[in-house]
Amino acid sequence: MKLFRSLLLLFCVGFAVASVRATTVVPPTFDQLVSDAEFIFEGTVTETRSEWAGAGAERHIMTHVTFNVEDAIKGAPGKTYTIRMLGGTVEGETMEVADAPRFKLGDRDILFVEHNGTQFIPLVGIMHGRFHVQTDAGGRDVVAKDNGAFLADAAKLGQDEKAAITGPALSVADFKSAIRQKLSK
Amino acid sequence: MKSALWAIVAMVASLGTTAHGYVLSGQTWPAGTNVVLQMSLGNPLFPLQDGTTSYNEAAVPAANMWSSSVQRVQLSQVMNSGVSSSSGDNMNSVVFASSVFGQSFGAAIAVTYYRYSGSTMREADIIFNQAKVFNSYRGPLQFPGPGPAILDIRRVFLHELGHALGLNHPDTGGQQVVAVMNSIMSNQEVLSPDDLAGGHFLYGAPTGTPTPTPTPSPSATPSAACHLVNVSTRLRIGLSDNVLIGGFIIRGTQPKKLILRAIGPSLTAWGMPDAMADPVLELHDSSGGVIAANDDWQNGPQMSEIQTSGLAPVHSAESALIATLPPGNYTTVVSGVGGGQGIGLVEAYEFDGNATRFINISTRGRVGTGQDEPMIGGFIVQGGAAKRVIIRALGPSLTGGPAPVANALADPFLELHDGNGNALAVNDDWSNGPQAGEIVGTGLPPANDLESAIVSTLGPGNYTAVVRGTNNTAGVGLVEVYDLDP
Repeated sequence: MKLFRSLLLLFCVGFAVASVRATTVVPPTFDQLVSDAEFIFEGTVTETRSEWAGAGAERHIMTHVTFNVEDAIKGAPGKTYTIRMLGGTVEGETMEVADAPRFKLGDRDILFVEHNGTQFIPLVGIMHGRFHVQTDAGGRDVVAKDNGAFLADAAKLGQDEKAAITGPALSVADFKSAIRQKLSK
Repeated sequence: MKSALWAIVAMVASLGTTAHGYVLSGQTWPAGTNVVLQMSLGNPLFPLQDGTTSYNEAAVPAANMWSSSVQRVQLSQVMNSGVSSSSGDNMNSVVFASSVFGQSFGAAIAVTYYRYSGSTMREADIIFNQAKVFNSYRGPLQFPGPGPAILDIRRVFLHELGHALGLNHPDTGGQQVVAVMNSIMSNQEVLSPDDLAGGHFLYGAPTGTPTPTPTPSPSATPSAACHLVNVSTRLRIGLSDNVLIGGFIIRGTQPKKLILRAIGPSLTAWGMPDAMADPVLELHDSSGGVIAANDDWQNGPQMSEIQTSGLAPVHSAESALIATLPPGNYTTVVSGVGGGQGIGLVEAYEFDGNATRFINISTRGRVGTGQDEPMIGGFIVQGGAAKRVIIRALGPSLTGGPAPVANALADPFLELHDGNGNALAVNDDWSNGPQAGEIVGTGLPPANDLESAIVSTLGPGNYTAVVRGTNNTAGVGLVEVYDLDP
């Protein structure tokens, strides 16, 4: 209908968009996490180091976070792997990206890494590409999202974030098994 | 990377009944700071749903919401500042960019990058990913299909400004509250009580307004009463009787400040190859005398005022003027430089919020038969209540009167659509339709039975009235909207 086309042209061009459910990042699905990541590994933070980088208008602080790789699940990250992130503190001056994951020495994480060295936070889905390893009250290693919520159903990630964190926490072993199962397909 | 500074704050409001869950990032601006936002978002390539015509204009009400809700800091803005994002320049840039200081965005849509020493915020840059498409709309999130929602730039900006002020995500901190500051975008598009509580904790509540409830304005011209605030008409502009003539009537006791625009070449971005290349705009009073005129808005003496209005045309060959007019009848005429022809658009926007208002807006021009040649009149109803209007499509009666038109549209057909393109009503030959009695009751029935009219009560929003010739005929037609409220 030509009239409708005209109206769309005038007022609704903006409908032809991609988009989002999170304010700053589209949460990836589990499939996207696994397929988009160049490296997936479980590791422990052994060093963080911040420094000035760039010049002129693009002068900024970068932080290098080094992990001791304990289990390489996808790719070959080596025995240690360092991610490069925008933001950090140098000589009392801090630059920080709101929503960025924050790492400290001793953190145990499962990371889904992409575009390390060129992306401001080199994780698939930014904060959604980082999962904490935590020990629950029963001494079991379980998985938590970057926001601290325990992950219950990996298949719901990026589709129903509330359902993804509803229920008993997923064990690290089961999470890694699900990743490997996805990779084997 | 510095360790987490988040502090979860679960506080009880002063009344002692409402639990809050806002989360602080740990930094604040010093008391008395005027956080000047360098707005450099530019113009969209398509009309935004809420009627705003630049991303700056669409986003700024978010800054106003925060600024009016806190006491010890204020947010102000420099519109179209042209400042690029640069960390460490002490300028709070709001920009579209292809990277975050040379680093790719990845999946990010917008990034707030702030700089502070100790707990003192010194700079915050908000960078929107220019690879994403943003619209601006009010109401619930819109999902055009099974995928994710359309991006609403104001909603995203409101959230990012919260970060810039020192707030973080309540849901990330384990709190279950309704908040713009939650990490997941929702139907919440104004500051919630929890967002306000966070702002008040950091900067105090405005004096005399301990619990403000800001209301976003859908345009640059907030006004309390529900009324018509904008009209725009697009059609093929020709010569002589076929030039585009827009009319409006202002009623009230005070002068009304308006911005008028004649748009042509930027329409090519909407897929109209036959757009008018260089439109000229004239404003006439009721006697027909020319009050003001402009060709190429950047050439006129009002360039600076137009630029800072947030409503500057996209293309330098387009025209605009700002006028403060006493109540009365006016017309705008758009024609092409050197006899140029093509599809053009004329627009009039209210530019103040006083009680004086448009009570009639109309456009006369040639209705064609091609796909892009119906006459499409757009208008915006703004305010907190519904507005009763009559919309008329005239043709045969234009052959009479003091300025008869020879090639008038013989039998106009009228359709009314909402801002999503949904047809709300149609009419052909008003006296044969079910609203004939109601139309007569308005005192504004068309003079000829072949003309069309629709009476409708419309809520705030964008609407279009489309006029074409019955049986695919062409001719000069007129579409007009009357405000029927007293």
